[in-house]
Amino acid sequence: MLTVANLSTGYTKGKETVLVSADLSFDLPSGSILGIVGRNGSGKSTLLKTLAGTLAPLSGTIHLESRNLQQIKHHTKALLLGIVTTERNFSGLLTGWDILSMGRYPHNGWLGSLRPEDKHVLHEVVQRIQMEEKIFHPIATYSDGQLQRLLIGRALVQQTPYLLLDEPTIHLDLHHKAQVFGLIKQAVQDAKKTVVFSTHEVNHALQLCTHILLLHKEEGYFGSPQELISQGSIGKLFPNTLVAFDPKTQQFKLCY
Amino acid sequence: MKQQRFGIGILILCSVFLIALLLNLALGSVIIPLKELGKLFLGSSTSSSFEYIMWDYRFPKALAAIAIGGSLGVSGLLMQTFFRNPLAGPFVLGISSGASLGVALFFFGSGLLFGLESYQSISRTGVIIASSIGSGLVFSAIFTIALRVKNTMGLLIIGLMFGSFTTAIVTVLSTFSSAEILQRFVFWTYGNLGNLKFQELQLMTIFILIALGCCVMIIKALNSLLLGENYAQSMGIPVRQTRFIILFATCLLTGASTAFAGPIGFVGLAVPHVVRLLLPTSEHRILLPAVFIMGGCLLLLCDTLAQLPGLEYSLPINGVTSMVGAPLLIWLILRKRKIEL
Repeated sequence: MLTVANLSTGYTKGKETVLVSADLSFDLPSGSILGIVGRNGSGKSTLLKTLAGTLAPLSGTIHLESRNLQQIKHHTKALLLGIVTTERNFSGLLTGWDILSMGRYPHNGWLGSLRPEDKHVLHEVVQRIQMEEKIFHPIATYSDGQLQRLLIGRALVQQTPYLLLDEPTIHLDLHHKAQVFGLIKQAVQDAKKTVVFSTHEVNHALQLCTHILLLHKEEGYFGSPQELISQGSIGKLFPNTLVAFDPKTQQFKLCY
Repeated sequence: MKQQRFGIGILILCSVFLIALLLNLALGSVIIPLKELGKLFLGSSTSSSFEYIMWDYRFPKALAAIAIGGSLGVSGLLMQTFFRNPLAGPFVLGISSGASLGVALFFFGSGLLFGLESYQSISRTGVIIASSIGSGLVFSAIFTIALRVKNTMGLLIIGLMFGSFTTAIVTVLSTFSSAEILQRFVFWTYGNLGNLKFQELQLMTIFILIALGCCVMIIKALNSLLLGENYAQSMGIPVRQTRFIILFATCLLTGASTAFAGPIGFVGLAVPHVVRLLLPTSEHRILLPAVFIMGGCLLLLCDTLAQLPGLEYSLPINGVTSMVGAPLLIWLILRKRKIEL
């Protein structure tokens, strides 16, 4: 269970405090998929960074399995929570295998050498992310889709009950988006993980997620996709002039 | 494709290293033949002059070259990984500029205060102390700033600014000094591996070993920093602590070698690239030892060139490192066409 109580996210800029989202509260049961949606600049990444513990909350608390995130040690947190960020400027000499191996760092010894059981986990994940062909090639040769699958693979290798992904489908075509969503769904079904991800693919999120958090003007609306649709909060996502929610198909459509 | 193996590359590196070491010991204004070298090591040499040259001059100099080349290379690797910037080197933090400032103040100051005669007697120890203090001061300044500036790129720029600021002070100071003292200072900036005494070598080695020990402790952290600080943290790496260990080790490595041998440029920047071009990997378990060996190797070769037989004077090591290193690096990059961290 991921419990967020009265959470305000934001950052300090010099002496000024910039509030991004205020007073978010929700309980996310284990085994759920939470999609965070909202317009550009609505605070999706800030919230994810706060949930990952890289950004301190302005106020409020986050509990993972009833443990306060702020008080969990680095190493313990690495066993609970895996992340996929939008960063892409990695050293091109790294191979896919190198990056996957790092996912085992919280589990293995001080030199990070792979034990047989680590290798077993890696081989399993390589199959799951369908990277058998390229895994020993330098990542400079990877396509966007391959790199994204690899980064999700790295988080899977870490074997954490929670996964946080920041815009995992950005820059991908429909086929590769479906692949990424497939990986997420599989992780939840097979390994009983809890996944939180931010996305601009509202239509896909409505199909895939068990829960949606809609961020709009410092406020958050949490619920199952059905709840948000019936409350009408989903319509807040975009100004109605260009895009509108069609309740019949349960999808957003262009208005012209 | 199979997982990369670098066994052969490492073997080649080690043999080149051994050859460089033998060349360095054998060549000089007096050539020691290989046979005699063997005898010297077995303790059965009959020539006392060879013994003198070997144990009092060449052997300590070769050890200094290995230690200094290795530590400059490793500190370059640390900086490039830390800043995720291929242009970073041990000098970007301004450590060696700090040492230069210390030595400049010492030379110019003692020249002004005591005149040249008394200054000569305290010169050697004085230079080491002055450059240690100089690099130590810049080092603590950077530590203090690293507490406040969380941004790694910001730290890089501040380091560079420290460097140009101290260089500027040195320039201003040099206008007020006498030609003789200025000449001494310029000679110091040429770098010198030769006149390290055995105790100095021991002291330097202790510093370098401490720093290398730190590096080995954070191999996992160094690897994961290649994905950026967010990922590193998410894999349980204490990023703040690691930043300090990296800064500490770099300052120790650069500070120690600059204090004892002067500011030897270029090795730190070039060696990690040369190694990565020969052994294309980002794995620090391989890079760290390979960079140390390659650094030692490069400085041994440069030093051999600097003291080639037939040359009446030995050339300044600082000039030779760049003259050898720059074309080597350009050639490697042209061959591989791409430079990666």
